[in-house]
Amino acid sequence: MGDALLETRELRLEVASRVLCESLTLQLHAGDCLGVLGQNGTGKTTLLHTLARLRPAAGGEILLQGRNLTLWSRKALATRLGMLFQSRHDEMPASVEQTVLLGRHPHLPDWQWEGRQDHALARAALEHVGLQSMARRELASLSGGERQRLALAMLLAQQPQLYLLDEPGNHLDIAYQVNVLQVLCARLQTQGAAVCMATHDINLAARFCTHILLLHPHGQPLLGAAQEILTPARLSEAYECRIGVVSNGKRQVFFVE
Amino acid sequence: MRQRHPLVLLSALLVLTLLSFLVSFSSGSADLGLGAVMSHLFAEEPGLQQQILFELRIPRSLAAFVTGALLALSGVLMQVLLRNPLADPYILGISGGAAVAALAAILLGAGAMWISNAAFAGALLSILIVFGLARGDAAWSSTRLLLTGVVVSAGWGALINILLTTSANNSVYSMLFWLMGDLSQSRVGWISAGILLGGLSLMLWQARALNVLARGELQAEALGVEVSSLTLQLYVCTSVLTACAVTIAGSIGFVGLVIPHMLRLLGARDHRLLIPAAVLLGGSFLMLADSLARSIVAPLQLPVGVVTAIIGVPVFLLILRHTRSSGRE
Repeated sequence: MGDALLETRELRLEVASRVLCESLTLQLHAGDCLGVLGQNGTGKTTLLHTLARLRPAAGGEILLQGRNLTLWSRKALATRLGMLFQSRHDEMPASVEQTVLLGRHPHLPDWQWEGRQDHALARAALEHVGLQSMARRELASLSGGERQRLALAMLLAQQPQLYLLDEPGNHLDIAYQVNVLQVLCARLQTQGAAVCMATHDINLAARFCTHILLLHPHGQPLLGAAQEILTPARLSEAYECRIGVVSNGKRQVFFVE
Repeated sequence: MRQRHPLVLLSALLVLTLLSFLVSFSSGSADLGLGAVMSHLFAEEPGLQQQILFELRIPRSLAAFVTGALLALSGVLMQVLLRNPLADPYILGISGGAAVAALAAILLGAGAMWISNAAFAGALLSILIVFGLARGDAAWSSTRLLLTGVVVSAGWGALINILLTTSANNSVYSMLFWLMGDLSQSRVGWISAGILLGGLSLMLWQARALNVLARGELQAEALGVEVSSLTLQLYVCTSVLTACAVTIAGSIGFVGLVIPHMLRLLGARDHRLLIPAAVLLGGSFLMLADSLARSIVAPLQLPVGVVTAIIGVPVFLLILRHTRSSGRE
């Protein structure tokens, strides 16, 4: 295993002086897909925002490619680390095409317009999420699922090495939930990228994640290989309800009993 | 009609601007039509007409252009700053502060220059108050900024009403003209032109970042925009532009809200296009409105703020209707 893409050392997370996580130490390597699971309010989004330097850590440190996260310039950071948000601000009008191209912002010098290559990347990103026929459409005319796919396309056009996804399955039908994550996971292999995704969907995590971080409402989070953490016993404890599993030999499906 | 090449729109606006200058030069109470204007512009023929053109009309047209451009640019920036397409340059109370100071100067019988200076000082005071209160110790957010601005603005509104109801009749008349926005005493100097050009260049430089900021602060930060620095630049820039505009011509309504919208409806969503387009359209729009203000009831003059609303409302509604009926692909 080479150097870690992202590393946290004794990371401490707090929200309004409530401690969410005392000391989290983890490493993400190229090809890893880390799923962050846990009840509401256990700090999934807070963790992602902290990793993206959208909020300060309460303690410990985060290293991106071996360099402290706080030392990166915003722009350099955005060429390596991209984030899909849980909710979006769509009040200001824009077209689908313009919005995808925003993903190229960190790669372009100040005065430069998007070039042929940026347009090609944007088009490819739209094709990946099945929005190629809607490039001219207005943001306001899109459905919730289409907006989510557009946000994913913008992230694909950004081409970071580390993808932080906050509820990637939001608003998507089950076919697209699997579809978009397959597109992303293909990138893990071809571009040496890594994914860290927070989700409520245990089954989506079970299908795509190599590792799982299971946050507990009280006490230390569990971190390990996916098959090791995703057991009915551990999940039931973390979600404080009885969770069962059925299997057809190929895939497992978790459900609340 | 949305996806035309940006240069088409900009060239059309450039032509409109030139035409508006000519219309503006040739309208007013004195009989000095387009032909006479052209001959005086390009030939040395000293006389009363030339004096009217160079000492009255051209300075007033320039004042109208600069004021319109300042307001439209400020409107574009305010809408991104607050991520609210309904924001206008006056929403944070800048014009309120300017108005209270200007009205107080009128009450004290000050001359035109002192009224302008007072307006500028009042606008700056209001900017500082809103900035100080909105900043507080908590992080700066657009909601907090908007709330603070609206509340401070309401406070100024109350003071304006006190000044209006307690003043003598003759000064109330000047006060109302000031409040409605009036260009008859307006002249622009190098400072206002410099502020317009400075704001325009700074924001053109940041234009792509503004496109990103329009999608929300967190999203912008995740895409590599230094949001706190950009927000501060936006606030300072939009405030100074507005302060400068109200200093030149009082609080002319409508331009700052509607020009950015008209351009967005015409397809200019990208700030790299929207910003220069707003400067041109805002400037021409106010020049044309001012030409009407001087000619409809000549030799009397209407306050230009009334005319901006009279032309702007139907034009805006027409564009809105047209884009809706032409349908979205």
